[in-house]
Amino acid sequence: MSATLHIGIIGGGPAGYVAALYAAAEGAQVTLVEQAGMGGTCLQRGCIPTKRLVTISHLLHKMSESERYGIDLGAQPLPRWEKMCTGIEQLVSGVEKGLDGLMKDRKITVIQSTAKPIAGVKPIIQLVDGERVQVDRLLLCTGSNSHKPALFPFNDRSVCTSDEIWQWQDLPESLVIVGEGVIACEFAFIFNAMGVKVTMLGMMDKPLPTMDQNISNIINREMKKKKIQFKGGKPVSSLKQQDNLWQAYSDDEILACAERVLVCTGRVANTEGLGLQSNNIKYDHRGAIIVDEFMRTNVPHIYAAGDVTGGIMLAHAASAQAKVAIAHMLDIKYHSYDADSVPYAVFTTPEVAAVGLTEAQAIDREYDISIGSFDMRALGKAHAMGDIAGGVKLIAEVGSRRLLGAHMVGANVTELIHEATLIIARNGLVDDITQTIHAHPTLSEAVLEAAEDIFDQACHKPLKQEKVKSHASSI
Amino acid sequence: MLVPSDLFYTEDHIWVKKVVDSVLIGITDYAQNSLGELQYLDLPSVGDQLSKGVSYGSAETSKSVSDLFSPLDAVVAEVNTVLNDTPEVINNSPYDDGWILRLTDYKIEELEALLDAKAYTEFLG
Repeated sequence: MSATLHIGIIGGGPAGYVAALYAAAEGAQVTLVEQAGMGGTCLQRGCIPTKRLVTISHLLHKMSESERYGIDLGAQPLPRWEKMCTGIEQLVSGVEKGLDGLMKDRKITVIQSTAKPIAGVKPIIQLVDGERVQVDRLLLCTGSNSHKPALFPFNDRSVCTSDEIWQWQDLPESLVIVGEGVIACEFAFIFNAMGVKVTMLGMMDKPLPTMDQNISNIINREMKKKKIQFKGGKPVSSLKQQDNLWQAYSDDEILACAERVLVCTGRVANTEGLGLQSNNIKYDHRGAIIVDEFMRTNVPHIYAAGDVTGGIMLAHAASAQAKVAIAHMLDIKYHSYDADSVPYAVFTTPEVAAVGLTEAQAIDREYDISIGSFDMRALGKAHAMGDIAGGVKLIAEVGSRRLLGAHMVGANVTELIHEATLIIARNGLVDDITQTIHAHPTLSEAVLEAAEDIFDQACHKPLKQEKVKSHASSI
Repeated sequence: MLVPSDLFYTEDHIWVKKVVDSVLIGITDYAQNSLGELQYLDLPSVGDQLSKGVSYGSAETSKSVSDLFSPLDAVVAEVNTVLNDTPEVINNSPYDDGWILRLTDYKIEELEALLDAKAYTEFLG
């Protein structure tokens, strides 16, 4: 394929900007059109800003326990929302400048505009001022928006989604969070740490219901310990305002009331202005663009990647998909996108991380499995840190000894998960962990111990009554 | 280990005390000693249905998180809310101030089938 292939990209989030950087590094001419800020939802409103909030919440936790660490803090620390948001603006601006610098370094043409694709042998990007840019290949990465159920009276202030919290002037005294998934849980822990009285209203019985049951149970308990109220099993059907408080109803039953309501009920593909119908680009019943394994849409020379295609709506999944699309455009040999080896990272306190099959999924797929586990509180490092909640659970196939799934709760597990992610992506074995030296003292030792616990005896666990050793020989 | 003679017991180290038409349950002196200082108890709510032999909650220490198993099929009538902020009361007074739940709607024959003090002491070995 010609090194001067002109690739056009609509959307500058984790799919779009990664696609641009990769394509330019491989010799393509790249034009990236972004309507707002580079980095997309991830940088501007999502991943990065909320990780600063998580850092702040950890600081507040540690400060509240300062006596335990021999520190006399004096006055009670006071979280100030406006100041936090100012700090976050500076953080985002700094990261955005870094991205802009990378774009310039690779001579990527960046245009700030909304854009509409026009299908053709050479697709066209039509800009808001009418100018047209003709390209050889087009990648649509317009991301997603927070789901706003029609039955809620959103006012972008006291009833809002995670996009609008950055406009708050202060913290509420009380908050109802509608939802029980990742974003709902992360915000529950964040605002709880800041002194807000949080009530979560979930449709399902437990928080994080799609994750392994162990994770769900531990996070449920950790919420109770922090006095985050979780009420599950009843969908919120309406929100009514009474005396400056919002009341959340399930039919006629009042479930909770609070000063503000944060609705975290998922995300929907953002295809507004793409002219999907006029371009005959196929999309599914949720409005997400349909793509094949190479991220091609049904229209020749038009691809799509990231949240706009639905699927696993995570930034790193978007980036991985974007690279698959660019590789196909440039005829570069590249590994395919494997949804089964996408790691999940949830920034609750304690953190959650997972990759591969849950126990229920492994059983459903009729694997003969053995499970190993290890509590963080059995590690000296966890006690030294004062973060003993959680543990590691590993699932392996008996016989082949292949690692099928890893499910972790605890401090820093969003980093720890990558050992298991690498092994699962490579169809590796439990032995890949047990035969690797893990540094001491680290939380990673919990992964080693859990791996030892699967077929053998973990060093720091009580002696098993019966050891289960598989018949396959270890490497 | 203290094993009061007027209580029933299970092999999961739960004690059960008949109080008029309900029962109080808690964990035994052996259990609190093995577990160590309790830091948190995850307990059910009033009105919850418990099943014999099934975990209804957990007891957390710096060493472990251990399931608490129900001795009977029963309904939770009362939860000892003192334990919310001071779970270590169980360590100091496992059979009195450290009671955990009051249960009703149980079968008397299930209660009488539990271990008595002598049998539990033998079980402890």
